[in-house]
Amino acid sequence: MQMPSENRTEENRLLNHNLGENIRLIKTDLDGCSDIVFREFKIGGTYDGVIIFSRILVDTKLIDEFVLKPLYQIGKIPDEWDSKKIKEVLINQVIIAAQIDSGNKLNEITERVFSGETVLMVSGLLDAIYINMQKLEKRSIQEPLTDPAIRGPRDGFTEDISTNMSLIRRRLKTPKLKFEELNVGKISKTKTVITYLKGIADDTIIAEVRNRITKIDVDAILESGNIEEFIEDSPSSLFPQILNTERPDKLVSCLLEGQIGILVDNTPFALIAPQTLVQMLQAPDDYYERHIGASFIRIIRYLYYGVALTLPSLYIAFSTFHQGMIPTRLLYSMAAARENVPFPALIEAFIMEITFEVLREAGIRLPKAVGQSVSIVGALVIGQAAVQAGIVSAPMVIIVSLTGIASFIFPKYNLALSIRLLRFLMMILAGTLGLFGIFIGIMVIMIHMVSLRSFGIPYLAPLAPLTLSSLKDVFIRAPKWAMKNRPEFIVKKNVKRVDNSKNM
Amino acid sequence: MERISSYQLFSMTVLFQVGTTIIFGFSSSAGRDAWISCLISTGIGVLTVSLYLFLMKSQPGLTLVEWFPAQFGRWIGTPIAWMYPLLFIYDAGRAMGDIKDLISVTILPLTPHFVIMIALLAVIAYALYGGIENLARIGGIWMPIMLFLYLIVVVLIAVSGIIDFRNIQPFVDKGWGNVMKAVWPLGITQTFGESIEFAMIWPLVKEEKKIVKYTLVATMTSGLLICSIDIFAILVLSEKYFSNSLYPIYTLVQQIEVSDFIENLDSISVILFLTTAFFKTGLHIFSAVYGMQKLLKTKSYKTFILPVTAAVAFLALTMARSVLEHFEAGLKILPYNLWVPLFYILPALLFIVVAIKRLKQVKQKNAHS
Repeated sequence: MQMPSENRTEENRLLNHNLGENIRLIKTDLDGCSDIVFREFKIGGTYDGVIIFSRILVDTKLIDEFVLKPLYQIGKIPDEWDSKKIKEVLINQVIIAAQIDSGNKLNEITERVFSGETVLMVSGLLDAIYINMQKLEKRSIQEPLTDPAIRGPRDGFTEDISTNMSLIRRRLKTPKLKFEELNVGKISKTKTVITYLKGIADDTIIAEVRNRITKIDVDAILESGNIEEFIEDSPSSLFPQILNTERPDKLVSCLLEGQIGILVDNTPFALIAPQTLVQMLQAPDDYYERHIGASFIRIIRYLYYGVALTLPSLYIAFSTFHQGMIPTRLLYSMAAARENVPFPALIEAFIMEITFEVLREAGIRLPKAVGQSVSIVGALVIGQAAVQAGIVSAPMVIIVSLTGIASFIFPKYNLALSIRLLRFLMMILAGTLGLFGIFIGIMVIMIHMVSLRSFGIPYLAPLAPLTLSSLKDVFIRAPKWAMKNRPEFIVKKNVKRVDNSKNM
Repeated sequence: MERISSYQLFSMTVLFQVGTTIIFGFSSSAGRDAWISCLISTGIGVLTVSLYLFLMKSQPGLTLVEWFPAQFGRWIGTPIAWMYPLLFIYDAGRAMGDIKDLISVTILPLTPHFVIMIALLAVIAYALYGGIENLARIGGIWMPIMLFLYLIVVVLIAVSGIIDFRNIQPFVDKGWGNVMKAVWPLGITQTFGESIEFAMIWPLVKEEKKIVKYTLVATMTSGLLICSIDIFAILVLSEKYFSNSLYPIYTLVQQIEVSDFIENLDSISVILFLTTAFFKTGLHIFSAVYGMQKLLKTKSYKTFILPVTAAVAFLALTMARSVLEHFEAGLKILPYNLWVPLFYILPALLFIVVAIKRLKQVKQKNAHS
């Protein structure tokens, strides 16, 4: 019972007049952190000074040049100056730094030091001065690995949140683009930025996102997926309700449609909410290619969404329950192929599907060079041998490969994952109840999907509930000049993208 | 508060009215003139639905089960109102009974009935636990899919070259009596009379002004859909097979054969029937539980879903000993004893009471002024 009150006093502890005492307190706090440097010196003759910084996070050359050098060159500080005056002179006339401020809380000092700032304390001053001369190791901007596009910008987010913010700001030169900063995680204190376009994004959704993020109670956030799990509407649903992307252009286009981006430090994956199923099936280069071709690709994508979900189950249902529906000649060749197979179609499909999932997972985990040989051994050798040995039938291998390829065409990995899982449910239903079972399965999935919401937006919008005007960007991709309005199921105000009066 | 949009009302109305009717071929007892009976029934059906819509307009915000207590007083009205939820449960049982027989005759001959019932009713209950909004949204999705499948079937029938126009001629050779026998009472009670159920749902529609328009257009759409399917069935199957086969539309789809490759599409038609029956049963059960909630004045209708669904399953499995008995009850007993009184006589009485009350009001106003 004693602990909480003690902690509180610890947290609110202020700096005192005695510099030595302050240093001692900070040193006990930072005991064992070998990267922290305490550099003590004298300024203005009578005053003691110290700068504290982490030598792995700070550019020491800049410190030498623009902090220490001017401090050494300062003349004698007149006796009549009080501590306030000294601080003001130091900040405004001595230290040459673009980002500089001050504070008087003891525990803030350690936080600042660990986020790469340099702390200057001078005897007699009640405030510490924070100077930002960070030097962070960062990866250069590279092409996004998980969001490839044929045509479109090649820059992707990196692990550094400021770089990511700059990539967004560069694309939207308007004061309406807001970045709200929050720290999430009790130990990690991960910098998290909510970004949106004021006036286009719905204020209630912004408030909801902010609210859900501030409510997160966890020790550390290592990746945006951690945040996603905390703020999703239905965490136990199979379907992802928040989109992640590595592409700044994707994020920006979503911001323009009234959605909200969440950037997390130390990960190249930004989150976008609210999301609907329809938006998850849109690839970024749909909008950069010619619209007719893009529409065609998109229809194919929807078609294969169905194929990836139901093809093995349809095969099972037809070959076990409704052989009559298969055209006669096809039936003959299927029967001939299945003649030697000892398993019922359901078991056969299960063996092959699970093998395929294993191969796929192995391909991801292995180093790239080895990964290819696994896929060759898996797909060619095992597939061929299994058919020749009569363990599985050739049509089943075709079906499984087709479904496997179909699940690769989704722009998002986590959406494909949900389909892959549901496929097994559908297969069991088809193996027990035939077409009727498939009907039951599709109905259950549909009912689940229509009841899902992402930050209050129905998951199947604009299909259910139907918004006719937003259908321009669902199965087809209408040309940019024809999409005069933002999607109305998300954007409530400021719906017009283009000002008609100017075009007339 | 759950709300549904006008488009969702439209699609649910169509799916409900097409419902299980489509499985059996509308008024097939009229033989080759079934389509005429169908058109006449649609005409009368639109009038009937207009009557319901008028009753809804004259008692704004009230659901079907609240009409009677509001007009006849609590002591007479409440027992009458209770008949409706009970009828809806029975109707749901009938629809499920139809499906049970259809599935086991067509696609799953060896699967026990109760497995089919439990699977289907579990899904319906799951949908209703999410609320009528869920059912309405799925309806909105299925409506275009169903129209698309219907168009495909029509095109395939046309290219199969199985249409014979001699099958439908001569018109009305057995006299109008034969045609009208199919209209009254079965033609106008099933499908159109049953639409009184939507009086439970109308107060939930967002745009009150559009209810009348959307409902009437939906009624006409489903009437025309059913009639056109009748016409195709007669053209392809000839009168003899149309009237005698258990599931004429199923037989019709079976006839499709395009260049030796597209054939035996009958399972597809079963899926179509399943969909419409799904909505019909779902709406029956929803109307029943929602009516019970209104009558018992409890907080949520969701507590009733499970017992009512169980009752429906029990009814579906036990109401008839054979398909023929099931049909006999549906064609001869049910319409006269339950449907005509509940869908026509009581609403007509209600109409008279409302009309008299209105006249009085008008007279009083005139007297005052």
